[in-house]
Amino acid sequence: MLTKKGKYGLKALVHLAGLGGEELAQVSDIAEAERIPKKFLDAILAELRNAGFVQSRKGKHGGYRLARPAHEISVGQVIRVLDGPLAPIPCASRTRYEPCEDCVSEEHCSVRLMMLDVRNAIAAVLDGRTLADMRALGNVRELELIYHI
Amino acid sequence: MLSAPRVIIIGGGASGTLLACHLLREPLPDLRVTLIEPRDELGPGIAFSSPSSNHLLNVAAANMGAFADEPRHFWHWLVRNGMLPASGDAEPFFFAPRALYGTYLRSLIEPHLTGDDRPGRLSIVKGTCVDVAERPSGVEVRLEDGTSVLGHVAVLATGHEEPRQDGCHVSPWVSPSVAGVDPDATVLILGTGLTMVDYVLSLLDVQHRGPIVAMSRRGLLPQAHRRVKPLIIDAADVPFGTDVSYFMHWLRETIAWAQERGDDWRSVIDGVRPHTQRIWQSFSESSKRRFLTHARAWWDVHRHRMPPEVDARIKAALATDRVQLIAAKVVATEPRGDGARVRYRRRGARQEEVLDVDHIVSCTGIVTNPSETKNPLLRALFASGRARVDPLCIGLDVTTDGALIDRDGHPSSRLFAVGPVTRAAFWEIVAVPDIRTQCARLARRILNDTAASLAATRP
Repeated sequence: MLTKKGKYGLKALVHLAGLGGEELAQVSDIAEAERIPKKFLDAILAELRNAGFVQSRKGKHGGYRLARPAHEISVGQVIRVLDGPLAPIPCASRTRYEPCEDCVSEEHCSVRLMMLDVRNAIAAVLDGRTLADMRALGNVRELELIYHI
Repeated sequence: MLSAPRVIIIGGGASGTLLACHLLREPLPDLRVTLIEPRDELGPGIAFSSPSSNHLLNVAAANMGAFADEPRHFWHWLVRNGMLPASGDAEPFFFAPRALYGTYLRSLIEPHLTGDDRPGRLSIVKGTCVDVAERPSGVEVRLEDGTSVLGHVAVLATGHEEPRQDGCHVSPWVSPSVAGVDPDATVLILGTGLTMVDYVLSLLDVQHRGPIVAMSRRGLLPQAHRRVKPLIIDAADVPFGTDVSYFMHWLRETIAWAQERGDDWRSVIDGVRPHTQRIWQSFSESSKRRFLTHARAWWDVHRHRMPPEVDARIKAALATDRVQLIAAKVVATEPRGDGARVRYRRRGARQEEVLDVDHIVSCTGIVTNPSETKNPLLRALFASGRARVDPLCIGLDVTTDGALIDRDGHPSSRLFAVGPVTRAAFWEIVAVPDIRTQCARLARRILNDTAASLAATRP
């Protein structure tokens, strides 16, 4: 359910969540640090900017940064924009979905209905984490490694 | 020293009454609730006082129950009391007269009042509040007559601002004949939403003959209700936290998708409704600001709809030029004799036009700048710094729990607010289905808080 687009987008945003104050990050730097293809990243960041999660400045000292504080952007919000309404299978959403080819009745399909519940559970977890939380998660793992040395 | 939880509710309109009902629903024999209200009548407030049977609720009866877990509570009350229309088509897609809802609200609090044969947990104080002070273990609410009411917690349920009634201004909530509107008078109505529609009906009901002009910047009329298939939209579908332009694009795309399947746009708007408060709270301040400036008018007319019978009457009145609708902005108003001369500029036009009127009726909506309030209590709270206006100037600054935020940004533990006055934190908080959910949460919080503080002070 999480596509490459969603994954790369999250990695880029967590990277931006680590910037200080007025700092901007260049696309090429993010691409290298997070090992994301640059052209793909350009497109992803443009979508994130359109959705209001990042801001950009053009030119030599330009780049991207978060448009809102990291603790105000939830992971669920980001994934919805990049990957659509969190559907584990294409018909498991309430809006803009495609019925499966073998669909008999979308209102009564037990698979669909169950996956809608799964979706709600996924949303609950993703909506409960912010970019700040994700950044902190990454830091904890690093600290644990250092401790064992 | 107060030994039993005592809650003071300032304002006895719909919001205050609904909160009282939620508090009193709990089996707490020691609980005491005091409702303070300047009007004679408890329950109806501004919204539900209209005596006209042509002023209908804008929400179907099936969903106007006082309790979120019993949305049909009002519908059952109507049935039990034989108050359905003679056609006998017992059908919850029915828009009851506003006054009936006021009666229903009153019936909910009657059982809690002290009667000849029973003690009550609810007392009503008729008066106007002018200040609230916080004491070490509670609050002191001060009234205009110099008396005070003591409690643990106070909740502001002050509702809508009363519209202007000075000079040639008349209130849309007062019948035209009672307000002294001559049948041949030229009446200018500012605003073209639901309140304007109700007022036009009032004028037609008293056989008004003079010109009626309704004016708003965009000249949009509310859409009509229609019985449509409900569409469930889950939180997982909704793009929370996005920029307002992205969000509105998503909404329009979703409506287009629904229409392609043969569904009605109303189903989408109704499907989004349960999420609107969370959507609003997820917006950045900039998105909220731009929503208010650019998207609000569109949202209002699609979300706040008219009963079909009302839609038919207003359309007929427009078609026969009984009422004129103008998309224009008022530039200036100056007194002229007993009336006024209004200068206005139509949408898209350069030159100004002039209209001489006998009366002006302000139906410009429920959202007013709170710093312009005439309510003495709110003025006192702003002056003392115990409350402040929100950054967008649409309401009191409150937390999503309903606690008042003071001048320095600290939430109070004793002062709360409920209903339309909290719109800054909730946006959608004028309809009963939203207010009742807010009341349920706030009642739980208040009862937990007071129980905890009482337990802490016991020896």
